[in-house]
Amino acid sequence: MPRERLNRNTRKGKSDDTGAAVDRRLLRSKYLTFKNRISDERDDISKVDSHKLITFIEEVDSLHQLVQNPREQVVDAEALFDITNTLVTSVKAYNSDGLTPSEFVSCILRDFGKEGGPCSYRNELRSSIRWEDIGEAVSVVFRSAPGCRTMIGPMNNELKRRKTVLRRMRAKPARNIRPEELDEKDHDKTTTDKNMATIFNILRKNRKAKLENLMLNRKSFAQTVENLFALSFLIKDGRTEISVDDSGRHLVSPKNAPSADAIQSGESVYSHFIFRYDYNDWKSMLDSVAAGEELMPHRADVNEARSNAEAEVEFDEPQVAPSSTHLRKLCRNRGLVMRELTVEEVSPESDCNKATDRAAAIRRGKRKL
Amino acid sequence: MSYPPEIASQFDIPDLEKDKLVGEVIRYILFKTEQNSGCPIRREELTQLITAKGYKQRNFPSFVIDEAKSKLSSIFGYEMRELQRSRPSAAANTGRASQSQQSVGDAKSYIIISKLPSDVYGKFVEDKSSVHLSGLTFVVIGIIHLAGGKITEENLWHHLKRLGLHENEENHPKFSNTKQALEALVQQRYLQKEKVNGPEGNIVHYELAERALDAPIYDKIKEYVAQMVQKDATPLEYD
Repeated sequence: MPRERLNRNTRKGKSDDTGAAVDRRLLRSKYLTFKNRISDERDDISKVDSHKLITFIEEVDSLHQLVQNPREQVVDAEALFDITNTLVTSVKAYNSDGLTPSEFVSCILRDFGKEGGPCSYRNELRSSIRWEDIGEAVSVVFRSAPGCRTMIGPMNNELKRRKTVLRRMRAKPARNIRPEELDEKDHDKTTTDKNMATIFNILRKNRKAKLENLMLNRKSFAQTVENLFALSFLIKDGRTEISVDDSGRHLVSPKNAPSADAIQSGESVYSHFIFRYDYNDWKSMLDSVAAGEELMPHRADVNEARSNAEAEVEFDEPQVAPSSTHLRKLCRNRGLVMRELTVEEVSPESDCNKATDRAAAIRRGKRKL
Repeated sequence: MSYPPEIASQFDIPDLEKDKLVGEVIRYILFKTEQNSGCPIRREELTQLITAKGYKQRNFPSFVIDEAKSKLSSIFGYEMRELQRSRPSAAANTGRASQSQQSVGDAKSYIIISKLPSDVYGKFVEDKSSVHLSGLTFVVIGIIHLAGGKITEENLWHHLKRLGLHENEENHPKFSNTKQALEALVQQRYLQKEKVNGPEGNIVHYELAERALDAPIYDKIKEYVAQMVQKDATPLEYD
């Protein structure tokens, strides 16, 4: 029972609150309308013979009686402030011999509006004032002097001088080094060409040779590969052929290269195969080929030959440092450190011989003064 | 051109150089007036022209500007009027004037006005393509003058609205963007704008500036406004 009574009272309270809120909202809306009217009719308020001011004061007074909450009090104060402001502005205007801006604007409309007077439509009003006539009537007031239109732009244009470029003197990083001069006879032929010629000469003598005897170099795996490389060029050119006999042995024999007609007619065509050959294969080939049956001569090492030659000279001339190429290394000390590098061959057959005699890479740093 | 000996002697600069400087100042004024659409030229700019060439003598810039003034008058028929920049009245009332007094004292600017008689000016010199701007200038200055020299932005637009000028209009047949047209009057120093912090937020006020308050212009505006309004005077009103 008490709960029902409580609910009923709550519902009634809520509806009362809602009603009060609606009334307050209505009151604020009336104040807003009132303020808009003050703004629109301000000219009438300030007129001497107008009773609008008294009407407005009475109206705001009646609204003021309904105000109970702070929010409405603020709106009421703002409305009173607007009326006061309008009055103060109009009183200030009366300093000018009683003329007001509204009267002035009315005179403008009267004198310079198009025939028929100003219309209520905005577009027509925009074009109804003859601004040019007003300007001509008062041009003597301003008398603005026309300037020069011949040149509008930078008046002190200076010719920009080209910046002189200072070239830094670049110091040469090192003394002049002449590159190594090769013998003229070796200029045209590469090592491969020489090897090809050697193989072909051997085949011319032997007519038929076993492949492994031809390519193997017992002392050097690298030279074995070089021999095979040179042989592949001969085969590619068609100057040698590899054939397989009944027992499965690979035999290499020389032949004439195919003619141009044969190549053009398609009689002679390329065919490819892969010859896989690695160190282990070389090792097993060492066993299959008897010592001394190798046909290709062992090519002496270039540096070894040079050092041998130098060793011979040694007795006659003072020791000459091995030729080296100065390498300019880019480093933090800006190339001041020069490295003299002598590169010598290091091959897999280190077990053979040369570790004690051959020098590894000699590196001496010399600081360049 | 020979200058008075007592004046020329104090600068120790050949007459030829002085002539050249005077010519440059005149040239600058003529071109700048056109380029700025009639906005006043600051004295600092003219002084800079002279000191930039290395002439640091005291009073020499004033001498050159005075010479330029007389030449503009004699050769071109232009009066070079000096305007002293005015401060907004609110700033003056709140005592901020003392802080900026020194800078305002130096804030001189110049405009050139034709010295021709009205009828000759109107017939031969006046630019017909921009005469409507003079009309707007007159109307706006008249409204603000009659409002006591100062008016709120809202109030000003209220009056202009009656003449077919709306604040947010950008396609007016004469003025295109009406707000920009009003802003041009501020640039030309006929009006000055001021923001005042009020209970309802920032309120913008428009006030007459030094160019509108310059005696010859101000007196003529008052006279024309009075004439315009008095045309409406009927015998009944005098009763």
